Amino acid sequence: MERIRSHIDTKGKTFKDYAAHNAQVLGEFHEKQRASRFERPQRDLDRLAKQNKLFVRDRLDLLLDPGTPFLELSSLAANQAYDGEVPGAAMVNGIGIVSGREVLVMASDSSVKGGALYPLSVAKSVRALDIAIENRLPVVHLTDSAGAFLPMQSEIFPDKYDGGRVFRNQAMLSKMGVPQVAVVLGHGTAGGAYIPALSDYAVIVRGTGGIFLGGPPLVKAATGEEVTADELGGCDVHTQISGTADYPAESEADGIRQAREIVALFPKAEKSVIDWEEPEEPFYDPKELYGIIPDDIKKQFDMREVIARMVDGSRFHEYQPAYGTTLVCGYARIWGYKVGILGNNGVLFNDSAKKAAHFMQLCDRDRVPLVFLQNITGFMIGKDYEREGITKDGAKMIMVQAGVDVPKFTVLVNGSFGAGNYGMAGRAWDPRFLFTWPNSQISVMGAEQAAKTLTMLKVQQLAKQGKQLSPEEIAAIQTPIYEEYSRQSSAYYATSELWDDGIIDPVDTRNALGISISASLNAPIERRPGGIMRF
Amino acid sequence: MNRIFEIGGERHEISPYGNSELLPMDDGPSWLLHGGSSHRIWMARDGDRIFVRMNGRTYEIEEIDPRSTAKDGAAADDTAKAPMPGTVISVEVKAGQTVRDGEVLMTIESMKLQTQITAWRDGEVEAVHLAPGDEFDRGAPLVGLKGEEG
Amino acid sequence: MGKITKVLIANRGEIALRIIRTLDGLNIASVAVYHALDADAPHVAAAGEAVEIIGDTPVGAYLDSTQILRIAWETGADAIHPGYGFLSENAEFAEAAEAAGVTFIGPKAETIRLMGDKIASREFVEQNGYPIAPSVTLGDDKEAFKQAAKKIGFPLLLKASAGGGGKGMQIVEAAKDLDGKIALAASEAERAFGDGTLYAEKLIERPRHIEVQVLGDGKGGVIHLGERECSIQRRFQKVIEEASAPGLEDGLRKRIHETAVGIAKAAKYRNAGTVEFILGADGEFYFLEMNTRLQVEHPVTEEITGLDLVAEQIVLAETGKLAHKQKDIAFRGHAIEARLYAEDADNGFLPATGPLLAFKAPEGEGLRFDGGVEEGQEVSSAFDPMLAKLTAFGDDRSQAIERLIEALKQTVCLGVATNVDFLSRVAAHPAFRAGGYDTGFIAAHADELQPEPIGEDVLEILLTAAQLSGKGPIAPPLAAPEPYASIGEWRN
Repeated sequence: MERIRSHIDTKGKTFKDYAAHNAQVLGEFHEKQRASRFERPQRDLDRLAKQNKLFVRDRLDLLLDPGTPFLELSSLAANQAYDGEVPGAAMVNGIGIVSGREVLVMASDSSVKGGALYPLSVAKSVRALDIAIENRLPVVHLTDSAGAFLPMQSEIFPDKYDGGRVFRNQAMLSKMGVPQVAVVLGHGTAGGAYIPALSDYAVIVRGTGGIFLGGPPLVKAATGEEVTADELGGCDVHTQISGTADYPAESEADGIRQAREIVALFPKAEKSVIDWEEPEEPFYDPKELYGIIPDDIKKQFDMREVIARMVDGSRFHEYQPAYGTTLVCGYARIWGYKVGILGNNGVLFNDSAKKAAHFMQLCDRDRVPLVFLQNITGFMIGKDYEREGITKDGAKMIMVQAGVDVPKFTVLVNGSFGAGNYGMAGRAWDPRFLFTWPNSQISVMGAEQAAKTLTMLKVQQLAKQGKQLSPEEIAAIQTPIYEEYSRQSSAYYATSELWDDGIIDPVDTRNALGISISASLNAPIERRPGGIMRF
Repeated sequence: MNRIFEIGGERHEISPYGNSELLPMDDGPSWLLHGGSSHRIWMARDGDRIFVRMNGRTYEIEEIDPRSTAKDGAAADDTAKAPMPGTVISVEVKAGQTVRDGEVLMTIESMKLQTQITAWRDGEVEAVHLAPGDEFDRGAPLVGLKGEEG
Repeated sequence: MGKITKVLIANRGEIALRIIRTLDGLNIASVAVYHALDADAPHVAAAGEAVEIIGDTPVGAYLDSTQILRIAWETGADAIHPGYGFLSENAEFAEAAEAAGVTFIGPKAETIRLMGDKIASREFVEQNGYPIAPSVTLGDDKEAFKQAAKKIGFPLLLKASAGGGGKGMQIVEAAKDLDGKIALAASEAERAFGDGTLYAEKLIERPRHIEVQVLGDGKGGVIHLGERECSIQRRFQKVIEEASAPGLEDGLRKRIHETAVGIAKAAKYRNAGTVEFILGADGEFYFLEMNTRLQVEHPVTEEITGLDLVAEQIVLAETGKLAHKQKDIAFRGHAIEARLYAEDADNGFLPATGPLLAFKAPEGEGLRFDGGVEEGQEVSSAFDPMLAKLTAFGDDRSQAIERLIEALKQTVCLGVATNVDFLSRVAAHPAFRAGGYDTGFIAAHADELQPEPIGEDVLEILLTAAQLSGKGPIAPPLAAPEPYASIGEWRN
């Protein structure tokens, strides 16, 4: 494969301006992430220490193999919700290596509201277990949760994808033969008690671990029985008498060590085999991405330059380079894995939509995972295009994309607006992993366009009622709409709502995708030979 | 858990991870690839005793079981309890007696099966709670060892 | 006398193997005897026939003369070679063998008896006009003994009359220590040899242990095969021996040879033997004892004379005639032998036991390796801890030392602690290279001969190797798969 020839002038003004802007953007992102991960009210940290509990990230350090990477998912979940008091939605999830085995880790963050489950915590848990199911990833639960945040129970308990879905997913994993181990590091009350019960293996820490359907206060209220947490559902009760948990542990370190031993004995992974070669570092420095991503969502850039800083050896085999040029298609390797990349270089036209559909068929037939790099404002509109069947061609692209069996991976590189998000495998289309860059935006249409449109409607409406508005009054209507729109289309809002699997630094994209692809290969990829339709 | 090796009377802990390699040759010695350099060594292992000859000097290394030195693995309870109801057949030790790991302390019978209660570590017998002929319930204390100094 | 067709070797270990090697070269059949503990020993497989012997103790089996003679009769052996140690200086055994019509490859019984008695042999030597160190024997009159001892002067050496090897030996620094040391030496001698008789001898200043190899026809014809220096000793046990003795003035060397030959002639010595002397710093030398057998360190003499001493012994036993005249004996080059012991030289030389996980003899120009054990054998405490002898020959002493050092470096013995590294340090020591050392060498340089402390980088390599040597009590974790291993420590 040939190396992409870059045309970026890294010494030019544009590059420098963008780089300065993005330095700020990334600085803001890293700071938000640091605060979300580590800043806690002192009283919460004191409480942990008094309870003899480790901070969640210290637990992860004990669990994960030293010298191995950890891909954290949705680190900024709930960052715009609940007054920002539930960073990360009180849990840390991610993919890493335990005893040489690729696993998904779900860990309660008991330094946040005692690990209580908010609606977004449930969403984050369900999403993590969906990832486990789709990718057949074994799961390690480090449970230490105070239970559901009762005041919001109507958003936590009853619906299809609420709390019950967590346990349903666990049951499905078990049925599929995907192993799970739980380490009970705190009290698992009511729902939380089911996590170890539904896991194949359960370790419980003496003194701090507890499993009970109703805690001591509830028991006293319901039946008058007075009992301590340990007597009710502590380590010895469940490892010696009831058999609800399998392994007693003397300490958190001991419990996590036992979990590592258990994972070492999990059935060996049977991974799907796809085209792989010895990896190569990108030829162009990924840090150059900071000078390529514009400082304004409306400014264009060549997606090939982004690809060049993300793939092995910066090598890219472009498919149909002269046709449908607003969509770049081609083969590349990421950490050795051959992938088919689709990246937007403008609006989607008939030809680009058809090219995408054709290319995705090729990849699906030949078992090549798909990577979508989104920077899309939408499909082209207008009379000519409708006559040519832009809707029909868009439907072709969507139909093929929805129907592929190969894993899909999506990165929101810049804008993700309208149906372009759909064609390019947005969240609803089940990419195995979806990441966003901190500069990205997502909404049905751009904030400025939306604000203008809505304001215009309002003005027309008032005009019908005979009211004329001054420019200031128009601005007074438009500005809040624009601001609200911007807020709700920002990467931070999106990630807060769990619309993605996390914001990542652009330079981390190659590692994130490498790990994602590796993880996805734990699930089988059906071989579906078939003729390719040249649309 | 780290591995522990004793060399020349001193104990050293080492992480179980590393990417060094040992390539044995047909004629006896091996090549040890570590930290970018290679070393020609003779090595043999018998149980937990390891011998290495390198650069004209022989070294004797012993691997120490880290669990025998771990403090956080200490038994919470230093008393053996009856696994099910039964009768004491014989008692081999008395309070104050020093016992070795694995030494038989007492023989009990339950459901027509005889079981030997053995010492779970080196130590001193603190108390023998029952005598031959005594009957006991499940969970009854049988023999206790004096708690280890922390 | 008469042609020997089958020899039973009443011994074990390296000497048994070495004797069989010569027998094979002479086309003489060999019979080995072995205790069950030695079933895997190389000498058993090397012999033409091998018969198991039993005893209350393993050593006891090899000392059971009745059993061994019976086996000789049963296997039709017409000669017995006793090697060294065990029955080699047992006069009764030599007599019994001869009486049974089996040739004893060694001296006459009466010579064994004479030289086996330290007091009688010294008297014999003195009567024949040869020098002995001033000494006095402890008889019934303890007071007279103490007086005579004081006259000899301090420091003096108390020795057991019935045996050597350092047992029953005590150094007395001053008169006030005499009583206590006498009691100690006597009880030790009693335990080791069954005879607590002692004699006191002047402790010679900076003594060198010089011995001379002789061959005799039993009728007064004796030749010598040069001297050996055996002053590198630890606790009176020889560790390193050389032929010739370095830095001996020619006249002195000649006188020592002549004295040895004179003593052997006076005793009408038959077969191979060694006359041992103590040489003082003042150039005076004194008879120490005579060993009426082949010695452990005989290879160094073989190397510089080109003779096979076991073959010479057999010729003498068969024909009763010396095969060489003194003028035919030529000495060329220099040889040094180091004894490889199973002892933990870094920990007080405590005897070491265990399986021989790896055992590799060095190879090279001028090297001779006399080993008695094989890889896979279990080294037990039942027998003498000597595993092998390493002899290096060179055109001169310097070359011999270089070859010895290289050979020691190449010697591999894993599974049992040995003194091989200690031997390396001795051979490399400047005082050894200079020659002219005395029996106090090892004690005097004890600190310098300590092993170097283990450096940090060596330690790291050892720990890494140890980790790769096996799984240990907690099995090692699996390595991370790709791409995780290549990505390494990374967090998003």
